[in-house]
Amino acid sequence: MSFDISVFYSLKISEAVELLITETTRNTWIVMALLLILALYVRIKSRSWDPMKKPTGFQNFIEMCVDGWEKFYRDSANDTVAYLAPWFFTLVVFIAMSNLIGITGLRPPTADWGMTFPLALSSFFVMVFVGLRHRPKDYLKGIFLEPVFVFAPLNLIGELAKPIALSFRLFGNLVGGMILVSLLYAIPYMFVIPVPIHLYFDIASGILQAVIFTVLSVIFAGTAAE
Amino acid sequence: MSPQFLFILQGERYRPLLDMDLQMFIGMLPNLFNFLLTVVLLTWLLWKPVKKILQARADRIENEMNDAAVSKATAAELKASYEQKVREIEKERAEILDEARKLANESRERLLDAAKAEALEVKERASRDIATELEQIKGAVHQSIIDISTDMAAKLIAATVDKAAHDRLFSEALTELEATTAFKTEATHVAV
Repeated sequence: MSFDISVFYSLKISEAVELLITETTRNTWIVMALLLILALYVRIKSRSWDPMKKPTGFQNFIEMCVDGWEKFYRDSANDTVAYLAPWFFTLVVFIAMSNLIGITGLRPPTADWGMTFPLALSSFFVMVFVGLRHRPKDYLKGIFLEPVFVFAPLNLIGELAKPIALSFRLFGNLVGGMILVSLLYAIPYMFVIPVPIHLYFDIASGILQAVIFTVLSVIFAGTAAE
Repeated sequence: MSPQFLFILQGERYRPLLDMDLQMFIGMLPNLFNFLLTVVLLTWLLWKPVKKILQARADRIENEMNDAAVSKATAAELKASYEQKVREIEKERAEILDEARKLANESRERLLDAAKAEALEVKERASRDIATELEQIKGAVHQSIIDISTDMAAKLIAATVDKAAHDRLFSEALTELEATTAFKTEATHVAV
C-alpha cells in the first residue's frame, strides 16, 4: 500500500527538474471546477436577486455564508484588514472543499504538502504584506529589535515557522486520516464501519482543519496589522 | 498530454509523499497558481455580486432608517406644534370662560341692582298708596263720625235739651270725637 502521489504527466524543464501534473494537481482542478460552477451559478442567479426583497432558499444560504464569514473575519482580525476578507473566504472554502472531496474516494489535494505549503506560504506573504503596509516600522522592529536585536534570528525563525507549522498541521491531519481510512478499508469485510470514520476524517475533521488553518492565518494577518 | 489522466485513479509513476527537493518546490508552483486563480475567480464571481446585493440592502435599510428618523422628527415637530396649539386653545378657552363668567357676574349684579331698585320703588309706591288711602279713609271716617254725631246730637237736642244745653253738649261731643280720631290715626301709622 503506497501513499505516494500519482504522477500523470511531466514536462521536462531541465535535466534535473520536471513540472509534474500529479493527482494533487488534477484533484485541485476538480475542486476549482466545482467552486467555479458554484460561483458562476451564483453570478448568474444574482442578476435576478432583488436586494429589496427578503432573501430565501439558495440566495439566503449564500448571503449567510458571505455575510457570516465577513462578520467572523472582522471579529477575528480587525477592520484595517477588512479588504482581505474575500482572500480568506476563498482560502477556507478551497481547503474545505479539498478536504471534503475525499468522500468521493479521490485523494484530497490537501493530503499533499506540495499543496498545503503553498497555501501556508500565501498566508505568510499576506501576513508580511499586511505588516509592512499598515505599520512597517513597528513590524520590522518587532522582528529584528524586540526585545533586543540579539533575538532577531530567533524571531525570524519564529516567523518562518508559521507557514511551516500551518502547512504541516493541515497536511498531517489529512494524510493521517487518509492513511487510517485506507488501512481500515484494507481489513477484509470492513466496508460498513468506515462510514462513521469517513464522517469524522473527511467531513468533521476536514471542515475543522479548514477553519483552523484559515483562522490561524487570519489571526497572523490581524496581529501583523495591529 | 492526454486528457485520459482526468479519469484514472493511479498514474504510471509516483512522487514521494514528502521528498523535500527542488522538484517538489517546483511542483508547488502550479498549486499556488491554482489557488491564486481560485481567489480571483471566487472574488469576482461570488464574493463581489453577493457583497453588492448585501451592500444594496444595507444601503436601503440605512435609507429607510434615515427616512424613519426624519419622519419621527417631523412627527415630533408636528406633535409639539399640536400640543402648543392645544395649550393656546386651552388658554383661550380659559380666557373666554373667565370673560363670560365676568360678564355673567356683571349682568347678574346689574339685574340684581335693577330688581332691587324696582322692588324698592314698588315698595315706596305701595307705601305712598297706603298712606294716601289711609288719609282718604281717615278723612272719610272723620266726616262720617261728624255727620253721625251731628245727626244724633240734633235729634237728642231736639228732644230734650234747650238751646244752651244743646250748644254745650255739642262742644263736648266734638272734643271727645277729635281725641278718639287722633288716637286711631296714630295706631294705623304704626301698623304700616
